[in-house]
Amino acid sequence: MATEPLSRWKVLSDRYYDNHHQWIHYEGTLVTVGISDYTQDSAGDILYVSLPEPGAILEKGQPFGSIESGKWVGQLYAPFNGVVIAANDTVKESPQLLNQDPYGRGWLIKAKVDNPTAESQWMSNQDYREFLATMIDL
Amino acid sequence: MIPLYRLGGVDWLTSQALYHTLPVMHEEGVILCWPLNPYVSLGCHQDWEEFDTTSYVPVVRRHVGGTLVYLDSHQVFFQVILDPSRHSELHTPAKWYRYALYPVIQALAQLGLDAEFKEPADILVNGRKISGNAGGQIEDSVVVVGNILLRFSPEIMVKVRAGSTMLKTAFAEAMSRHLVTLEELSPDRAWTAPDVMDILAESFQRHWSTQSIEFPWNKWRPALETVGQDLIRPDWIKAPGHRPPYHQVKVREGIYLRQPRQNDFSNLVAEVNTEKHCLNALWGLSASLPLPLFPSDVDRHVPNGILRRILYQLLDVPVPDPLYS
Repeated sequence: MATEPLSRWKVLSDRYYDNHHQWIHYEGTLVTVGISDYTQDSAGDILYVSLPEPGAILEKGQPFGSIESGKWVGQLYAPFNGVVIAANDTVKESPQLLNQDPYGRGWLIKAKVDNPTAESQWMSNQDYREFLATMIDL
Repeated sequence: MIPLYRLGGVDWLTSQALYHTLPVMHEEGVILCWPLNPYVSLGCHQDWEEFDTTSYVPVVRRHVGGTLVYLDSHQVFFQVILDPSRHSELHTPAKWYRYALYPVIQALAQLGLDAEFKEPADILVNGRKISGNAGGQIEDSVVVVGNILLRFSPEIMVKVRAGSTMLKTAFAEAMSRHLVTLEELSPDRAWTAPDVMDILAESFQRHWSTQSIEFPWNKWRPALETVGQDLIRPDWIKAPGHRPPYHQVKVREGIYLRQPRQNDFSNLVAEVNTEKHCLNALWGLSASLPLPLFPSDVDRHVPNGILRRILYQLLDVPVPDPLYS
């Protein structure tokens, strides 16, 4: 039985999502990765984020960083094979941005993807809404 | 059925390597143990500078969260390693903590203690912390680890925590008020680590139907040794980490000691209740201020100037920089 309204979590329609509740957004040849509203809400106050340096290699499914909240360390998983072009230094200095603006100023990394057609493996915003709904019903 | 490993006393590094190794082996389990030798465990993202290197105690950095802790044989560890795909109803840290700590809270209740879960990850008895816990994802597993205090010395704990004499004094005093041990709660009973391990084992068995089995030391020892060495790699241990605008020591959930980094009042230490947003106690301040001190009181009792700005900062109240206002 659902106990929380689905509308509690914002889902943007201009990006893809993976099953780790991370969003993926194409900007020309660059892909930006961040955490979804659901993740920041579930985590609570985020106190620290660890991100890779530019040039780091991303291996799909492997951790590329971590976030800490309430003595809990959650992993950030690479949604694709690629290379990090930029990490968000502002969010490293002010991790609360992940809670305040996960889809905007709280972006995590910008990267080049090895396979430019990788988006077919991720969820659309509609699929992600349905994915969230199945979690609420648990 | 989840395996339960009653390991008893193990060497200090093994006591940390265990819950980091089971995820590598893709194994679930509940481990009960205690370290035979004292050591310090740093949180995954904690700044190395917070450890007092003159304490000459072995140190390890774990992959789960939280702050620096001094650990010894008077604390019984419980380490819960689970496969999240088998527990799909648990998908937030809060739910994992509640689930994993339930048998521990029930074990304390069985002893007649009024134990309660304090979010995000403490267990309190009569409002004082008896069990500190941490958690997170390691490999594909979810791990929640913690301990029950049989006996605890604030004086030893402050030796391993870097900071001024004033901070250490305040820390020892705050811990005495906010922490509690089984020995203090039931002084007539001679508490031993094996007794507490038995009580925990029984509770995990009752509530989770765990199966007590022999730990496969021979099979897993090579992995334990590799993982253990990784936890004490110099570049991992000495990594910089979370550095708030003030020096900060956690006493229990919601209670922190904070000391300004600015020179002007570097001897000032404040006990901050982050839930009630007030200062509970102050050390190293010549002026006398009413306590508890809330942000609204600061304007009334503290003249405009550096002290007022520092008190606001310790209370996490945003203050415009005078250079820009």
